[in-house]
Amino acid sequence: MIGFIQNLIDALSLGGLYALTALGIGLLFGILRLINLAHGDLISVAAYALIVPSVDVTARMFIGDFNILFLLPSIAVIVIVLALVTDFAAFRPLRKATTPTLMIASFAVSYIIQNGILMIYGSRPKAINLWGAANQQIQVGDLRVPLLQVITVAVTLALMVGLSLFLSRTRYGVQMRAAAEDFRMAQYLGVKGNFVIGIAFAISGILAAAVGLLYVTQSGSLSHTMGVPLALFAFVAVVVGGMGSLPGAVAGGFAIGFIVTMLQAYLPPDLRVFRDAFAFAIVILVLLFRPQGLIPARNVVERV
Amino acid sequence: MALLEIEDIHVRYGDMVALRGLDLTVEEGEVVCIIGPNGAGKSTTLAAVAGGVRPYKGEVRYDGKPILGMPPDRIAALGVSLVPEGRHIFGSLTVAENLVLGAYMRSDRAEIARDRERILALLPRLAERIDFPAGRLSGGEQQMLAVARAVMTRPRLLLVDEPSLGLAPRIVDQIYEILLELRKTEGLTLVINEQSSNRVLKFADRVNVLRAGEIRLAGTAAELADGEAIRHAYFGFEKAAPAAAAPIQTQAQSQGGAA
Repeated sequence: MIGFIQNLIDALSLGGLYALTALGIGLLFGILRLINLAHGDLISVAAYALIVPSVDVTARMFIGDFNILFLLPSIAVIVIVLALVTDFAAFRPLRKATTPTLMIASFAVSYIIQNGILMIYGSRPKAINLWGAANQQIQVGDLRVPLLQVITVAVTLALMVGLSLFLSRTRYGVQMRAAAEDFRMAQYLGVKGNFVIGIAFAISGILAAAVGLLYVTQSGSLSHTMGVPLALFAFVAVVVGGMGSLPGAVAGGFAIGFIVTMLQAYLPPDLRVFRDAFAFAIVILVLLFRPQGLIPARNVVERV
Repeated sequence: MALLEIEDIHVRYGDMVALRGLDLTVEEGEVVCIIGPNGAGKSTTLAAVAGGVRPYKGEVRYDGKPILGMPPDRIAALGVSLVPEGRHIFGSLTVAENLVLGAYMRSDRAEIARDRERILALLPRLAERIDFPAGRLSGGEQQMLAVARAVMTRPRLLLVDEPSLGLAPRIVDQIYEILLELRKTEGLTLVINEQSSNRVLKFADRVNVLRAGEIRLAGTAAELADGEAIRHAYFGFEKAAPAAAAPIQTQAQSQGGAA
């Protein structure tokens, strides 16, 4: 029982990372019909921005040594700016392009960012120790919970609540929801298309920054492809949850986290290497029965 | 100077020609109706004015300024509002959110609140459902919300695309009453698309018959009142009964006025 609860906490914290990543991808898909696979590379950049830019094998902290009150906004601003640059340089010229074209463009952006990291920081993975204190464990009865997992779940919840308040209570949030449902109609009512899209990219940047910091604290290492698997699983989470639906993205993120963690824990050791194959088999089963996703979007219309 | 001048616009969707040289002039305060069968180009005409479709040739001037090629949100900011065919209500947003969305580009908070109260006074059924998701409204209520939402942008020119589509005649009457009421109280200029002429002739100042991307007939509602000329233009009996002669004359005149 204790073991199961411990696994459940693992699943929640992994699912939280997937859910936050899926929110970033799902938000842009809702408004732009863009499947942004470069989102994972924003996560990598958030982590790399902590250290002094150099090809040295040993990482020296730069922003990572700042007081947390400066560290968080600095990393967020860097990733937001990068997200806006990707929109301006790659996606804005493709506003009228189809979803597959946009996705291919996001592959290109992803490669460019990865190679940018290679050029500046070198190709060798680096060890990094951010917030080491967060890796200690807290004892609750028989349960030993890593503090970081509690933080991860708390941050996930806080960002989800914040995002949902933004979307429901602010004028820009209402405009974003309208644009996600019917972009052209929103424009007919005076909603500035590029501005709303810019806000969506900025929010996806904040989400990527949060995931990057949590993930690097946990993994303790940097590599130029570190964000790729996160984006891949998050994309699957978006599909499982229901394309274009934000509650769906969250549900899908936690579902994928749960499936992966439980398979890791309970598969026979010989089969554990095939964990992801089992996970995706379950995903296929889910989609066979609910092709529209767990929580489908109310209105996924093709943008005309 | 006319509020809206459309000059010789041509629109193509791929190989399909939607508009071939359409001219239309709308004076401030007028109610102008465009009637025509399915696929005649009525919706394309309104979308071209609102910025949703880009003609490859021609000119559109609003209040004397060329607006062709501007994005829809800038045209909306100039005071042109479109109620598109099929209403395009934001179904997951509440009625209140749909309404306030139309007002975000305005900064006069007190005026916005007053407009909202006024429009809700006209539409008590919307007022009752103000916090409902708009997707749960009936078709007629959604059409009223679409009109109300457009009015919240404080337009000078309101373009309404087939407001009667799929609605019971009684509901359509209500919608037209509201449109006429708004014209009186707000001084709105209206361009309305319809497939049939019977309702339109009652309250339009001028009527245009559009078929296959061209205006085939134009005249005042009084001139076209007997409906014979409209029938001929609508169904495309080109060299038709003498009754059609007089209205074709007025088309030439109105085009002369636009040039």
